[in-house]
Amino acid sequence: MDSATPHPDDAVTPAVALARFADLVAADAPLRTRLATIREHEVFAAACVAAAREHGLVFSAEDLRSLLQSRHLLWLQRHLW
Amino acid sequence: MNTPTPELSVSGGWVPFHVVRGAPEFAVLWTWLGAERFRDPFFDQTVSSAFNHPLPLLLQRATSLEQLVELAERAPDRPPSAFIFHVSRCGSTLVAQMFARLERLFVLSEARPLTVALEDPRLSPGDRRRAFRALIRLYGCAANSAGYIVKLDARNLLTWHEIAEAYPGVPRLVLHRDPVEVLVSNLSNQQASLTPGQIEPAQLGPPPRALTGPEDYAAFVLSRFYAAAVEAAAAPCSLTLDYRALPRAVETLVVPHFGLRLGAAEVEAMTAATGIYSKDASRSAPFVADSAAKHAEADAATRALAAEWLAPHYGKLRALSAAV
Repeated sequence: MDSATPHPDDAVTPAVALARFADLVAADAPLRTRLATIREHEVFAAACVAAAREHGLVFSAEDLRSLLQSRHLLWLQRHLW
Repeated sequence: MNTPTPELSVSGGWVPFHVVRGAPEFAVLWTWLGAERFRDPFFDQTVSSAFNHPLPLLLQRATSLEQLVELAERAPDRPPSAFIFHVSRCGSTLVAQMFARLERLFVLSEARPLTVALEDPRLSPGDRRRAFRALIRLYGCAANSAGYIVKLDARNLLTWHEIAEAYPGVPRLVLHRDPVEVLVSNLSNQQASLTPGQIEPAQLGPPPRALTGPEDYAAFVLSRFYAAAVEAAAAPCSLTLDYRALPRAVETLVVPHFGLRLGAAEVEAMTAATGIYSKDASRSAPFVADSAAKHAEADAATRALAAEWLAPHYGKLRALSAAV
């Protein structure tokens, strides 16, 4: 890792890193546009993990898949909550 | 869920998609849909379709009522062109899909957040109206079209007066249908609102007699929809139509009632929608008239329920309906 690359903050949990990454994507139109074209979840997860690392945010593809799956499940159960 | 940030705006592609009921505080969830338009027969179909893609699942935010209102106040305040009320299974989706064929119009169809906002027991009546108006304003802005029509859920008839007070002067269409046909349709493929517990008992009021089972309960709830439809139909700004007047009356009566003037190409576009089964998101299944089949399907018990619970209100609705 060279000096221009942000250092991952080990104190940040994957959940927090994911939330910060979502904020980053929300604010970054080019990144959002690029990610919006990816429909396959595995490819999307890999792209997110790589993009997050460029900003010093660390989470795994599994962390992301788990978040997306839980949100999809909540939507499917929307009449209950 | 993340906290709101300044980029959360409908013009930026964000849309409220769910109101959380099982939390102490009123909370609205948003997702990022980008340029996606609500063109499907139902609001939920568009959101479900969006959630087949990963990005809208990642980009979600929660806002409080005050944040929702604040965000709405940043959007242009354009009231809807019209509201469509209905007793369920009576052609409202067909009418909505006919208007959805017009490029200059957007039809918001049965957006569940509106229902939750209108009925939310955590909110005062004033805050329910603020939430409803904020959501309508945001959806209207998201429409990015010359005008928009709000097709409500059948249960929203129970709060038609609050909707009318929130938007005085906005034209209403009140649709209804023969009770046997509506009941047969609902008993064979029941909408969630007719399941006990889905609508607060206080909102329905006490039944005039003890209810004997699920079918009896469903007929009782439908009777409340019909009764409210009678009230809405009798109010100013309402046009009332029977299913049997569709689709012909859409061009001759509904379009002028909504204050619209259509060109020949638009009439043609609307007419094209009448040959398609309106609830089919693929827009490929043909429409099949089913009134006779529904009457043939009705057993004696169903006819008795329709006669007891719905027929008296239906008679009043027929009397209030526009002649075609």
